[in-house]
Amino acid sequence: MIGYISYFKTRLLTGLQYKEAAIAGLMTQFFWGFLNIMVYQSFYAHTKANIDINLTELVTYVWLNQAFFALIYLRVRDSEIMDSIKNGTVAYELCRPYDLYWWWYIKFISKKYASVLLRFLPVILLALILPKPYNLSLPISLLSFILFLISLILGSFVLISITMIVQSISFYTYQENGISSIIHTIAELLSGFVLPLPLLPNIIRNISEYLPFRLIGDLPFRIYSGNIGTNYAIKSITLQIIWIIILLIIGRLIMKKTLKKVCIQGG
Amino acid sequence: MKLFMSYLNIHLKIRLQYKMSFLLTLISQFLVMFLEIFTIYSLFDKFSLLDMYDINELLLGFSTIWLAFSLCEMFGRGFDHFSKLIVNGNFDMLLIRPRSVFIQIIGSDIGYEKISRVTASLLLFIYSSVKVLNTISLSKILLLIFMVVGGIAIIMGVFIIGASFCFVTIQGLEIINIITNGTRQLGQYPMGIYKKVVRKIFTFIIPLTLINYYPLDYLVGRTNNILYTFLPLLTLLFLIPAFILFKIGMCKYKSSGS
Repeated sequence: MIGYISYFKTRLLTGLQYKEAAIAGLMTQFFWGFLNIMVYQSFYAHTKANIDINLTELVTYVWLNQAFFALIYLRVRDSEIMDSIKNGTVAYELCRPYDLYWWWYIKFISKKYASVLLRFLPVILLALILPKPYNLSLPISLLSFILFLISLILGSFVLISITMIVQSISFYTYQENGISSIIHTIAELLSGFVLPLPLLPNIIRNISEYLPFRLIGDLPFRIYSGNIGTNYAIKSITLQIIWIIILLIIGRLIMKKTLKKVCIQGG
Repeated sequence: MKLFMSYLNIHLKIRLQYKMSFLLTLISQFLVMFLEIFTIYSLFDKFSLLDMYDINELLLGFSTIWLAFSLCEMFGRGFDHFSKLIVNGNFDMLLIRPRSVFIQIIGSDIGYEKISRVTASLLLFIYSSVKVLNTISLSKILLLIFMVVGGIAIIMGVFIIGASFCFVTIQGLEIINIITNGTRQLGQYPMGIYKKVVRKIFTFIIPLTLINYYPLDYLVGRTNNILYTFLPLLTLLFLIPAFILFKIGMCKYKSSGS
């Protein structure tokens, strides 16, 4: 256990070194935030229809989405683990007296947290002081804020557990982009990453109810803005825990299967 | 031209070395585009704006920008990923060859995986333009072609401007990505939903409205001014500053490789 914790710490500190990349990322986050809000605003200005989420809630949703981008973004940008399979360094990892599943799990999660820690504060602060229709509003109550934090952290575990499954599948097939990219594209739709779930057609919303993807970002952001009530929030948080357990079991099974097949390449 | 054909050939062969991976990439590229159109459709449906904006006009505007963008991504990949050429020093090699630098940059990589997007948006473009046109005339057909040409000019211009910055910064800049993807992102919605200020920016700075806003008026017959046919060609002017910037950048170029 101590080994895992100190590995987490080292990886987190390594991740925190990439400050320039974070600044570049921040600009993207701001820009996309503005862009989305501008588009949504024009839609709200033209419509008389009844929407399940109002503009204030939606703007808050957009900014939280941008601030905690790394914690909800499914795709894995670096190919460190895939490379270790391809060039054979996975042999060293297998020699360690630690469980490879958890080892990689920590690798991913520390990277995500480092990335978020570098970025979320500036986005939140700036979004709070923006003029009226563009600003991030404060959480509606202390309770909803606490629930938001809990579900956000649990959501990041859901995310990494899914990532581990997708990664294991790609070790199995030796395909980096193909299958995982298709899974990610579909997952992005069902997680409310492309478009907040309340804005999607009802069929998609119903499907997403039965899948874990909406528990990553959509749930915490809507708890924060008060779009989801306390009772439903607590129910969903329980659901998050159940899903994490299910996903962990599946992930470990696939990983076991993959590691049996793995052949060490290179010397 | 012969040189260009052999470039096309080489890069196709490279892609076909990994058939399965290439096929899956094709599918996922298409899915991303499909998702975008799906998003827009659901937004319009949710906000019940479909009576205000005709669905076919929506599709036409969307497919114009995507057709132009994916063609540029396919054939302009060398400019889009220009920082790679600079960083590893391969640009020096292009400079000493007795051929045009531009054709060599284009030939440095052809993005065949975008072909699924090109095909899909072309089909959508043809379908929606047939639906939108109530009378067929030579000027309208010409206008449709000019819209795509204009779109290519804009996006290619943005790519080239982005590439010119790489001469100074060496590394690719995040902001270039923001501009190229942002242009596409904003261009795929009908311009009518934006505020006046935004529309002005997209007329006089990045002239998107010239290819998918004003032309639509002529296509559906809201106006009969024949000058509208040639409006998209004005976007070709956008290429002039792009080329000038690139030339300036090339003069400033210092090799980074060995």
